[in-house]
Amino acid sequence: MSDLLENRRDAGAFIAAEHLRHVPSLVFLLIGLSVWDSRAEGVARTLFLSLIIVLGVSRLLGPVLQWATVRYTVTTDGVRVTGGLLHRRTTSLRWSTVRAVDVEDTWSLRLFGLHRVTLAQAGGDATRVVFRAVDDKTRRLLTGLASGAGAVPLAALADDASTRSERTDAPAVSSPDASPPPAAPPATPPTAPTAEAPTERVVYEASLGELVRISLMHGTFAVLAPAVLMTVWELASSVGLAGAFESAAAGLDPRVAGLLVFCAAVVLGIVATVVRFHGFRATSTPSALVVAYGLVERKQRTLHPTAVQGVIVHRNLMEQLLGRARLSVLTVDASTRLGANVVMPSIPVRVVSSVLQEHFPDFATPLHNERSAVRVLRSSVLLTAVSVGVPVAVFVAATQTLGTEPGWAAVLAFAALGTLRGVGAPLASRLTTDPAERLVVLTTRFTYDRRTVADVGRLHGVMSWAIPGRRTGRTVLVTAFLYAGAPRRLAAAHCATSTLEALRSRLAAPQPRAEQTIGRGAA
Amino acid sequence: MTTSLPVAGASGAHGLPGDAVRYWNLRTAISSAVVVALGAGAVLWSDATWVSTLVWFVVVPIAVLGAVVDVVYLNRKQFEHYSYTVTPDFVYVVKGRLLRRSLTIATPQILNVETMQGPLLRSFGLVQLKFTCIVDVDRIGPLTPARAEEIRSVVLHIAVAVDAT
Repeated sequence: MSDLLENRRDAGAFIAAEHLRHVPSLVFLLIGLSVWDSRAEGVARTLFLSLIIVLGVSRLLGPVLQWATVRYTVTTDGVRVTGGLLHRRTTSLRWSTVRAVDVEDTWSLRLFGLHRVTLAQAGGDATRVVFRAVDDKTRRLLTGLASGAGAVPLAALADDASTRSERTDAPAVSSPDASPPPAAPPATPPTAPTAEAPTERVVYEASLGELVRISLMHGTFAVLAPAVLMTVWELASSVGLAGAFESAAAGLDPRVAGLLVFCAAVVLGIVATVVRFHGFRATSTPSALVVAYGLVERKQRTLHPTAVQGVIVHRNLMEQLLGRARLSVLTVDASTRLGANVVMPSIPVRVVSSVLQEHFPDFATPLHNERSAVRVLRSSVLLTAVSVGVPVAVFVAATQTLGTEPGWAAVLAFAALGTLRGVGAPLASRLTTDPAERLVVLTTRFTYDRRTVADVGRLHGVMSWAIPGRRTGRTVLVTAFLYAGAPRRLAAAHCATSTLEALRSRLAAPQPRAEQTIGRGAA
Repeated sequence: MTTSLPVAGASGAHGLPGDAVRYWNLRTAISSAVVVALGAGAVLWSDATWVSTLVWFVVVPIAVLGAVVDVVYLNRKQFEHYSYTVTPDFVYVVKGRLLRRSLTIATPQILNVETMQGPLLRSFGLVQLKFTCIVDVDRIGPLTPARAEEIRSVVLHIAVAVDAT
């Protein structure tokens, strides 16, 4: 073992970056406070102001304390992070257990050329080690070590890092003269080159036009617009501009006003998508997949191949109409913070097929041919019509026939929609295995078309419900349980008896204990 | 007695102890008594006619009739069709007659085994056994404490297999 960075602090600019990051929320808080303060009085006002002061002070001091107390040591074997003022806590991990590296560049960190690096093992947040503010060389050192040190010039990286990271009492970096770090990989080495290695290939890169199409296909405007428009209206009301809006709208034809609102919603959705996925780029090296995107906050995720437990190919109605699909991967760590491991937001199906073949051959199963695609599209259209029609019918029946208040009728309509989706998705799903019985495949053809492919070895349990018959009876529901970053269930009403028995036989075959099988290939 | 994996829906190697039916019957009776008491409370608390109509003509008859059907027929059938097999490789639990539910768990994926015993179970000298996995939790029971201990031993690789005893 050799120390590359010893007893380091985060970069000093971390404090300034954190304070800057909180400026927008602080401004909104002060505006809200000033509006509220003019109306509030008595004990409630005193308590609330005290709370705000405590919150403000903790916001100011928090980064200072973190900077002052958190130290990390990076060696060729792993990392060790120690933190805490009164209660000191040390977290250690070995490079061989790191399954993913997340690099997040918030706008405030970018101002200082810093990065937030998260090393993820199998499991949830408790297994993560976070470097809150490291410079570019340290980031490269960490991603290089995590991805596999074989191709990383460790000495050069460490030496370079020493010139930019802050030092504490101990010599921060093992200089080439004093203690040359070995060029060999860690004790149980991941063997991949780094994300920056010259062997990287672009899997997918989204242009601006692609992002606009993605926004329209994902229906971002429909998701964002109601919330944003309501917030804008609330703000306008609180500063006395609502009247001006109303008088301006009164002079417009209702259809024109509606069209304007719709256009505003679409533009809003496009802007949100472009900001979120700006510069979306997925690249691969022989043994790592790197996904990076984001305008205001740039995010980068480096996945070790052993972290990938399966893939999901999803197509909503629009994507089916336009022959596109989105691809995500299931990983051993809880990764929802970075957009559920989206590899490609929405691209032509044939590209998805080739990407699967080339980069995820373990999980590549044939997608639809043209005939089945038309059949799937037809059923999606029908089921979408039902999904829209039933809640509308419930709403109309509740308000017109039963005389229910519109609010309660809306609740009933949403309940009907939820029930329809909750029951309909398993009914429209089929559980199969590949011919080698190595993969379990859940195909759902509901209002969307989704295929989830996972390693059979990831299964933890299988439950089946059946109506007893002469022989094995008729299976009405099969649920397969697996762990991929989070507990997941693959539930399907359609599952052949042979498939069910194949999955159960695989489960019953001798295998290692649970703690050794959470991550594929885990030590 | 076999330790090979039964076909989904087939009976397991072991059934529940006879006291399980009496425990279920008592639990059913207490549950329906609680429902009737809550219904009566609602009638006393509310002046609305529809509440008393709903309670006396719908809730109470369903609770009483359900309890009778459970005690006379369903609990006994549940007992007859409830079985399990536990080996170092898998845990298999099957129950139900009209709708048969079978669960297969890979034993190595079970992280913990928990025994639970409330006042009712204690009065019958029984326990519930809960398997804790990373993805789901299931339970077997009621069982005798000795049987629960045997299963715990097998699952946690402490002793010999239950089916080998």
